[in-house]
Amino acid sequence: MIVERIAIEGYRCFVKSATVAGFGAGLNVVSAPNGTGKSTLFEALRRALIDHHSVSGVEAEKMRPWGRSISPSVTVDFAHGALRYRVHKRFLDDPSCELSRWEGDDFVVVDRGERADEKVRSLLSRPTAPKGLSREAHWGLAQVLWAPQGMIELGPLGPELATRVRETLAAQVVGARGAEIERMVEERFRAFFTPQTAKLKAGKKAPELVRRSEALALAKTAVDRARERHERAALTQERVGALRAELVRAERERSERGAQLAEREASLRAFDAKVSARAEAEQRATVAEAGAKSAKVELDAWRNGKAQLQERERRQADAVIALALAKARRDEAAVEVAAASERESRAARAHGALSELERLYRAARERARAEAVLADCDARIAAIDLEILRVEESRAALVPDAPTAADVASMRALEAARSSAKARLDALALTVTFDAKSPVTIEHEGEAKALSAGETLTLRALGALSAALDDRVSLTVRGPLSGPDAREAEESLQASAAALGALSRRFSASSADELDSLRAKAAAASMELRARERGLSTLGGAQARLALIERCREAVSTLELVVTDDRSESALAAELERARIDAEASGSIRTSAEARRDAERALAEREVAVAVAEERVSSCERATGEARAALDELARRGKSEAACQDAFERAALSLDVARVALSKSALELEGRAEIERAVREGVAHCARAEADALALRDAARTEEGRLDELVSGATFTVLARAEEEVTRLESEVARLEVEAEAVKLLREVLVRCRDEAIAKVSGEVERAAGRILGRIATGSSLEVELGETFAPTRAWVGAREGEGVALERLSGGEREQVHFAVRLALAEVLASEERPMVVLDDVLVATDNARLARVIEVLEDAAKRMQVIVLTCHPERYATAREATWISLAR
Amino acid sequence: MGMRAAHAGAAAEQVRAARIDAAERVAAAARARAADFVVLCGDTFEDNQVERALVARVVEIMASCRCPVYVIPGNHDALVPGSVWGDGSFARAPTVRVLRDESPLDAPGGVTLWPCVARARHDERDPTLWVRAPSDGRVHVLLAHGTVESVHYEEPWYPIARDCAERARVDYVALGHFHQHLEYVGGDGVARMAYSGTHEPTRFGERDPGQALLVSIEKAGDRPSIEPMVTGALRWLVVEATLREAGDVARTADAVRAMGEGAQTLMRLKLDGYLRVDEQDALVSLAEMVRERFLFGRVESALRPAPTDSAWTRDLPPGPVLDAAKLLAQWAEPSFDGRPSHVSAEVAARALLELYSMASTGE
Ligand SMILES: [Mn+2]
Repeated sequence: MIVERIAIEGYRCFVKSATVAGFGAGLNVVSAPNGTGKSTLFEALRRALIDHHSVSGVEAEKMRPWGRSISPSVTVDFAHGALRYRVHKRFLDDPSCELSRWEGDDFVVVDRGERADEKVRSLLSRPTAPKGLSREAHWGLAQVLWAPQGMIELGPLGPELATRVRETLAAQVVGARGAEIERMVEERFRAFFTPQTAKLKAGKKAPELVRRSEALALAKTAVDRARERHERAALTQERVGALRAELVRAERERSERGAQLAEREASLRAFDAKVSARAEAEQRATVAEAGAKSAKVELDAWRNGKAQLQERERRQADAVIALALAKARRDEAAVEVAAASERESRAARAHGALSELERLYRAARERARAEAVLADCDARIAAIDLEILRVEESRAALVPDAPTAADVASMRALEAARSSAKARLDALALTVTFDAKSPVTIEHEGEAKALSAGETLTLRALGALSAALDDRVSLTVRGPLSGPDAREAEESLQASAAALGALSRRFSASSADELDSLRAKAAAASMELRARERGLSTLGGAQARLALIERCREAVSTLELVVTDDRSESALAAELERARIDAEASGSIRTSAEARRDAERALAEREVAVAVAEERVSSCERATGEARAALDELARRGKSEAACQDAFERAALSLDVARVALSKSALELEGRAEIERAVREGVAHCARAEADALALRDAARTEEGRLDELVSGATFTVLARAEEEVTRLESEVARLEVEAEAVKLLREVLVRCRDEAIAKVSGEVERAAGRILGRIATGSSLEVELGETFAPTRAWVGAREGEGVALERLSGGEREQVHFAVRLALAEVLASEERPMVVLDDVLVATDNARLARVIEVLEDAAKRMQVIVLTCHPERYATAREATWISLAR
Repeated sequence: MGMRAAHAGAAAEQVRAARIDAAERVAAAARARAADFVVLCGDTFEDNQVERALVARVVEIMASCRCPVYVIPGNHDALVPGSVWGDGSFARAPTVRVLRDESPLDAPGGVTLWPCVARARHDERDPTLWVRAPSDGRVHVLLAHGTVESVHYEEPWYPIARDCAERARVDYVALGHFHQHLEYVGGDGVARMAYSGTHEPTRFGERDPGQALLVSIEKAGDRPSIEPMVTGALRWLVVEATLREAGDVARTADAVRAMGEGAQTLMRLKLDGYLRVDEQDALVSLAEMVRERFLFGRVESALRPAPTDSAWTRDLPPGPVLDAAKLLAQWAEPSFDGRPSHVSAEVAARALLELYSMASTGE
């Protein structure tokens, strides 16, 4: 589409009519200062070409010049292909649209109203705007080709437009021939399937396959029905067969039951005949029994009499033997009584001896105990006496005025003082030592001392010392005079000697050690006394002694009282043991007395037994006599024994015969009740068998009726025909299914291959945009990635490697250049069919002049394939354009 | 009679009618050869529940033999309540005798018949065990329906021992059940037992069907003469062809044509291999010829375009369409195993042919 002229009236700032004309087919630069309605012109162009003439609403109201009620109108002349058109739209009040075509000398109306709207839109771009123009996404192709003021950025394309772009790309990939085939495939597909869900179509437009499948389903139902009937026929046949077999069995059962019943009734009659026969036999048996009984009585009289006599004789003999036995037992008992008396007296003796010995033994033990007590008391008294004596001795050994430890201490102190004083005096004294080489006598202070050879003598004196040696030598030694020290030592010596003397005298001890020894001795004596006193008190002291003396006295009186013989206690103990054994051996006195009494009682009993036995012997003799008399009486009175025997045997024989006959009939006659029950059961069985057979006959008849009905329906023939129909339809459906599946598969594969090819081609758009960018920014090329909706998403500076840069991270200039390049690249791709029109309204404002110069070159190049309209308020920026048509709105 | 003929498609009724005609030929043969009597050894009818009009028609044909016709029930027409044998038409045909008991009976020509009767669809017992023919100078013939051991048959019921004739001491055992003609030679080298097979072929792939046997025995103990007589009319042909070279379609068409006129022929033509682009029309006319020439004709094609035949791709524009064709050609090859699971080679081949046909018609 190439816009040639735009006329506008009553539209926003254009209250009066205004016309912009002279657009070229290539690059057009429309210049106008700010506020001269450049963008209004652009909007009016858009409304004229895209919008519905009947548009309304707040947004549309803005078309009306401010404060006026006139209706805006726009007229655009444009060329499309070889034809020229004019569209005139009037908005808001009394809206209208009119599309005219240039026919030689004038524009002639081709369409009006909505249809004219539609036609214009289709000339401009295929996907038409469905709603108002407030959203860019509704602009259709204009979204790509028209950049509104300052809005070079290309948002995501609307879904239809994205599809259109993709289709356009695909058309390039596929080519016209391929598209034609694709269209045919799609058409073929839609003959079978719904395009969205890819399901087989239903209803009036359903393919043959669906109709055949439905027919097949129906045919299958018919088969199911026919098969059900056919199977029912088979089942009914089986049932009839079973019922007939059952009926045969039932009939047999019925006749068997009848025969059985007749048999049972016959046996009942036979039974009753036997009952009367038995009564007769019973009668005969009774008579025979009576005869046998009387014969037996006679015979038994004989037999019993004889047996009785024998028995009584035997008893008599027994009684005689019993008497002898009783007597012998009585004699034995008398002997036993004597022996028991003897044992009793022996036991009495043994027990007497034992008691005496026990008494003696107890006395001996008592005496021994008393003697022991006496000895013990004596010993303890002696011990106490000894202790008393010792206490006396200790008490006597006690020293009356014994030195104390203090005394010892003071004496030691005095001795120390004395020796100290003596030492000090010694230190002050003159000392002369004589060492004899040969015997010599030394006289000193009037005292002579003879020394043998080798002896020494040392002399000491204060101040001066004189000695004479064997009267031959007189020696005097003088020293310096001793001062107060000597005096003081002298005094101390004398004082301590005096005190020591006093103490020595008092305790008759010459030294402190001696004094200490005295003190120790006194202390030991005192301790000894205390120990003895403690010992004495342990023994009980004098009181205990008195008690002991008392006990001695008691023991002595005991000894005097106890009587005993000379035997010792142990001897007595041994004898006592022996006597005890004796006593035990002869048993207790009471036991032996009882034994004796028992023996006496036994003797008395046996005496009685003897008497009884004698009595029994005489009674048996009497009975024997009686029995013998009875037999004699029997013989005298009637038949002999042999005759009786003979009569009895005959009677017994006839009784046996009668009894055998009776028992035989008895055996056969048991169980009449059972036979009667069997007959009753037989009757019931017959009735039941009859009923069963009848029921079966009815059931068989019913089933046969059913079978006849099914048979006349020829179920197999019907089934066979139905199955044939199903098979025929199945093969047809299978054939159609293959066809449908094949068409589906063909479309699926084709769509897949096309999508793959398009994916390759949208790479072409990216590359084209990249080439444009390369031309704009020589030196630093940019690569671009397009998203699913063809909006650029990322860019790479230089080669397309790594993550790239998100578009919003680019500088403003670069970003608008990217969008510009993508728009242009898309326009190039879409330009394949009809020369498109690109409108750029004051865009690329952030692009520097150097780059803009290269943008202009790019635009000039693009203008060979499309109309480019640039609206700007800075026409000087496009001064480098060589082949532009310049249009100024200032006028 | 009265069989199901789903495998004959629309010709099912003709197939059934052909069996009636064949039965008439059997009766005609009996008349022409003056047979003493005719025996039918079971499965005269496909099922006891066939339409009664058919039963009446068959009885009429039997009665037209001009000699006694002895019939035993087989497992398909077993003697059960409601069976075909209860149909009133039998009572009206005195020469037709349905044998219902296992008891010998005399037939014309000094023959004693020993009929074995099937009373159920299935039975595991040998039905002939009761027969012990006496040596009384008569010709003894045993009639049975069942499976001779070692015959592999889809209904392996009523087993019959191979030495049945010897054991039963009969001169001949006439068998029914198996569809094909089959004779059993005994230890003495003489065939005394045979299946006649069906009087009319039944389905594709049978061997030696469509015959009746004319059996002649001079006197007791003589070797039976068994003469097969063709009574069947329909031919059931299965032709398989693998196409490899140019002209194979035409050659196949010639071969089919050479099989003669087809009013009595049922044909299944199985095609495999590759179809050449210039033979598509020939294939269409071959299929038409098969359908029209024969009583029943079906072409089962597993043909696919030859991958090496560039003529196919000539009409296809390069790009996605050609890509799709190549992909489908790969999938159409039955031996290819990289096909998606939902696609069969048959469907892929068909899709490919669709694509080619669109490409050629769209020009
Ligand atoms: Mn059979």
